[in-house]
Amino acid sequence: MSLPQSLRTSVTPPELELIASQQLIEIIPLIAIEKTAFISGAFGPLQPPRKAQIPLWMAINLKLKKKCHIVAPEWLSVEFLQSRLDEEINEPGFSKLPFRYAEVSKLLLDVQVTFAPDDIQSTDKIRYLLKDLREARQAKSREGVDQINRGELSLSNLCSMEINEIRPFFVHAMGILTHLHRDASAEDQP
Amino acid sequence: MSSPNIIARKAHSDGHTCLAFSADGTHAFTGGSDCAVRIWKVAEGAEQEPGNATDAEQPVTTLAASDDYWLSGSEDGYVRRYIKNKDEHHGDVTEEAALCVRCIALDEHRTRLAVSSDNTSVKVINMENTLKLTTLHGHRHNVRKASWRPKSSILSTCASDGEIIFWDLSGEEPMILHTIDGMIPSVTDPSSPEFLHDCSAVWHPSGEQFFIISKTHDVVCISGKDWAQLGKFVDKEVTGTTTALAVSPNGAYLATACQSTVFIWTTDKRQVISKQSVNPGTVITQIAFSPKEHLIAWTDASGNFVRWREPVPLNLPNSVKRLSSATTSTTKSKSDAPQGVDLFGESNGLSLDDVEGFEDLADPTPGEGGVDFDIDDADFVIDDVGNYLEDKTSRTKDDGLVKEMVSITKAQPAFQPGATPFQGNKRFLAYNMLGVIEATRSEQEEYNLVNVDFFDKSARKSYHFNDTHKCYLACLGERGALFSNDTFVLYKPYGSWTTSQNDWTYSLSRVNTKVLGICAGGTTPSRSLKSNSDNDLMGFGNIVVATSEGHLIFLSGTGRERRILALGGEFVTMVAGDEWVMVVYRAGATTIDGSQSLCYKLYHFDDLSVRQRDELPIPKGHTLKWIGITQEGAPVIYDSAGLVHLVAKYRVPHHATWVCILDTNLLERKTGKDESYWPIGISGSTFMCLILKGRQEYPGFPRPLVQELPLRMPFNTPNEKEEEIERELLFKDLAMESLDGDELATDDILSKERAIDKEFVVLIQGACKEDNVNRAVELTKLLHNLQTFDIVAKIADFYHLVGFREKVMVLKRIREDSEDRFEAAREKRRRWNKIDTRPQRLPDVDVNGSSSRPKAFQDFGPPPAIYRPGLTRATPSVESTKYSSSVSEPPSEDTWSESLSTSTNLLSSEKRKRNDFEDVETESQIDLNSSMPPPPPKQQKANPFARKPAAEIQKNPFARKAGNKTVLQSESFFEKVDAAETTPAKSKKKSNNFTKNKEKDKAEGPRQQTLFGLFGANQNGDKKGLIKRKTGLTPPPDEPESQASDVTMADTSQIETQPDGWEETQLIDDES
Repeated sequence: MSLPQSLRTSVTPPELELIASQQLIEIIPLIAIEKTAFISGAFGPLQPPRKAQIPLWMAINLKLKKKCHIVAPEWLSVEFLQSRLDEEINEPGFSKLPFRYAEVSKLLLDVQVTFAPDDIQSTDKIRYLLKDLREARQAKSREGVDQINRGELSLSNLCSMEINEIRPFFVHAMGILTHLHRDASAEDQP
Repeated sequence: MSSPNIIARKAHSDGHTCLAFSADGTHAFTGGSDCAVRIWKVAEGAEQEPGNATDAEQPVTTLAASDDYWLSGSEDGYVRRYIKNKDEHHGDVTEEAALCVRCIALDEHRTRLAVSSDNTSVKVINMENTLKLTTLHGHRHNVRKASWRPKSSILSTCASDGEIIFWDLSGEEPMILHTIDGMIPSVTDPSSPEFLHDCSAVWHPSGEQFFIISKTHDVVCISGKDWAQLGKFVDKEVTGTTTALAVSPNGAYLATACQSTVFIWTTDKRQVISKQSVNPGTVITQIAFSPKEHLIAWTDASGNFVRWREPVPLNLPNSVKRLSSATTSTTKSKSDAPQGVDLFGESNGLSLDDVEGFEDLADPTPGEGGVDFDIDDADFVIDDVGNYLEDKTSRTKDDGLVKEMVSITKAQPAFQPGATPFQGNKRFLAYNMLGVIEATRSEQEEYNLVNVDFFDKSARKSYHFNDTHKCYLACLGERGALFSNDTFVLYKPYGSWTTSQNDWTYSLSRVNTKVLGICAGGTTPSRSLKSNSDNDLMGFGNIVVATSEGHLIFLSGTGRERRILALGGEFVTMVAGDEWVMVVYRAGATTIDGSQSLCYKLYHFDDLSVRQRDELPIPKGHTLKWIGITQEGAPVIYDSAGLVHLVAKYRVPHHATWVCILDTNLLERKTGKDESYWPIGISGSTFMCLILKGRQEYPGFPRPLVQELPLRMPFNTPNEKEEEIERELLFKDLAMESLDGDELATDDILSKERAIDKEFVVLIQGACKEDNVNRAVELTKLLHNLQTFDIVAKIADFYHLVGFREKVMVLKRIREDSEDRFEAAREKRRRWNKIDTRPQRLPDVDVNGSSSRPKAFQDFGPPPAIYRPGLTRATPSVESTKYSSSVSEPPSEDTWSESLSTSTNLLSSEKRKRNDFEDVETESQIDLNSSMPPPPPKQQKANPFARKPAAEIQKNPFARKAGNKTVLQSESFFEKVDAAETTPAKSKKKSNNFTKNKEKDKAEGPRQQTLFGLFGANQNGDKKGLIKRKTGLTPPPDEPESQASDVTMADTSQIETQPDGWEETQLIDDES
């Protein structure tokens, strides 16, 4: 977070990660478990070698115990990210990425480093691509500051982490803009 | 393929090398980039000192040998002639003006020599007079290779731009016969490595076809007649570029060099029969068969000269067989040749398979050579997956009968489901839903490292061990892993932490018997096998070993031999479930039109009985690829056509059916892709498989991910919902069948039914929307749960389909009245499986009956009424009679005795004494008696007989239902009506009686009147009322009670007047 302390009023990235870990992800279990009820819902049954959809937190937990292989999401591959990066560089708008791609990819890559370099192919390359993507998109959202007005801010395909990044500043700025505008109109009226 | 047969020797320095055999086969000549030609005595070993001819000033590029001289061509542009088998230079044949000589080729009669150099023209030199030469102009690029077509004067030349020209040199002027462009790669740079590769057209000795290395690095076979491609030599093991090739002198074999490995193929079947690799890492530049010996030689780019004796497995004819039986075979081959031509001409329009068959005829070899390997037939060697096939075909040829036709369809060899051949040094021995067995060959091939890995790590422990027996068959069962090589079987049950504690081995002691297939079955463990308790109780399953003698050996889980069953056919493959083993075999031979004619038998493990036997539904021209079992336990097969079939009703003996549940060609993901599927298992509605890209036939390493594809029955109507419902119904039925004993249903089945009902409701709604009431009714009949009928009725309301709504309610009522469908299904299951117990039950009945009455079949009276609690409960009239009987019975008796004749009176009173028949029954009996009065004692007889069936309470509901249904068909009703008409007074009494009975309830006078009127006026009135009730279209609001009572009467009278055998058939009708 490149913002000063005063502007950091929104949720922190770890909190976002926590939210993202509720997302479902596909795994290939290595153990058999009956359908189990959790607070967030019932998941399972796990029947190797059938794939199963479970929340990310559970997948990571099982992965750390070497009880499953995580099937990398389709977008977490060199080809996909490369194409998105090209799009990001060449097109003016934001490219379409999963809303929580930053959090999910971080969680998955972190667990890869420590335990399973086998699930995701060429993790290093993916890291570079993700970093490039992030920088390209950050640059675009900075450009967006120029277009800011009091009414609305339209940045489609912005992802949660990026929204989170710009939210405090933009909210503040828009507040001030609205204020200025109101003042101006107030002055006009009399 | 032991080393004594291989003699390798470094002969030249690195670079292009060439090779030729002398005409008598005693000497071999090799030339290389060190400018020398070495002359080897073929008979001597590696230690010999070869003769040297070092006249060339540039690397020697090509060699040829005739009867009394040999020739060498060199990059210095000279073609030199040498004295036979010596290094004495005997002058030059021609000089190419400093252009590199690339190829020299002598024709069959050694009279003409074709010389190609780095030049667009080809010289053809007459060897009698080397000054007489013809120059062939026509190529636009350097000519790289030249070769003569046997039995003709046709020369084929290959240029570096990939053009092949066939020259007809029979006349004075050379003539271009044909040009093939773009078949062979274009290589223009002489220094490129591809330039070393052979690009010449290698002719079959018959001259009918030639072999060439195509642009795509395949070896293709091309007809010499119409230049059409006849086929490709493709094998999964041959993966690299083919660099050299040669045909054996008899034309039966083709040797190709793929990098450093030499493969021997049969030319007719295009199958690899053996291979050899001597100096890995180098490229073989030329390969040649010895003209007289069973020997093959090659030289490679590292300058090695390798000879390989007996390259063909011993059970096959050797490469020169035709020459050994010289006179007969040459004449024969000559006489065969024209015939072959004709056949070839005919076969052009036919499919490739057929062409193969005709090649057999065209090929002069099969007829000969058979003499010495007839003996091998009984104990042919299987050293690779592919070889058995070869044995089979060669064997069918030997017998001298019209077996060529039979060999058109290759018989599929025995295989283990889920096994692959070696790819590199690894292979899968088994791959199923439980896990994987991989074998890795060790460096020295002393042992295999076997790795057993499970998908579910919690249930079984993965392990690995060194297998010194080099088992090549394996099976991963529920309770243990089974391994086998030729005669030795090893079983490793799971669960023991101390390995090999429970392991046992078993070996076939009889000579010449081999294990062809193995499998291990057992019940799925309820919990982890890592804890031993469950294991001990449940045992280690069942083992089946199939031998080459056509036996199936059944062993218990601990290695106890149970029984040896004869299969009665050629074993192909098998798979075991928890209670049975499914064995696929070939009952006879393959058929001429391409069918494998495979059958299967399902043996039960408990009593070793055959539960099912049927043909496999494999299309013609296709083979069985895989068999397995679904997670639910049904057998499944997958064939090379890409269809998945499942055996439904496999638990009902001899009633199984094949259901096509998936056509992989129709898969959405397959469109536009070249991929195939390698099945692993089926779980619910999911097809688990590995996806193979391109022409890959087997999965490779590292192990690919298991993919899940949805099952989809290949219905032609594109309604996915309906397909889904039918599929779900199929699986539900399967689940129902596998229920045991007293089980009615499981939660799983109930939830499945609910889900299916939901789908049905959607479909019904669709039908209603389209105003297709008939379809809606049809679907409504299929509903499972009663509650769903109400939902459907609501739908009908919504769409204002009053008629449909009424039909739904009628269907609902019928469903309510009928027997519980789970019980019916259970009864059916029981009957299927205990079919032999029924005949035993019948005599029992007879014995009991005869105790009271001596003559069982003399009873002409109506069969006795059956006591039905269900009936009494459901019909109010009976209830009321019962209730009123205590009060108003005597009066009714009185009325009867007044009106009826004494005999009937007697009868009724006697009846009452013996058993407490209900009024209704007596009444109807009376009706009957009046029309056809039977003697009283026989009536009595009927009663005890009646009670027995009545004791079987569970059958009552059927009986009642049957009564409802069959009323319309029976004649007795009319009899009854007749009786009513003839004795109006009596029936009036009856109605009075009724009135009396019901007086307490209500004053029913007018209704009774109507009823009576119905009775009297219209004979069919009763019937009509019944119909009305059944269909329930517009039942009058206040009639049902009286009608119900009427119906019951009719019912009972029905049953009473039925003949003796009636009840039995009726029951069956009802149940089915």
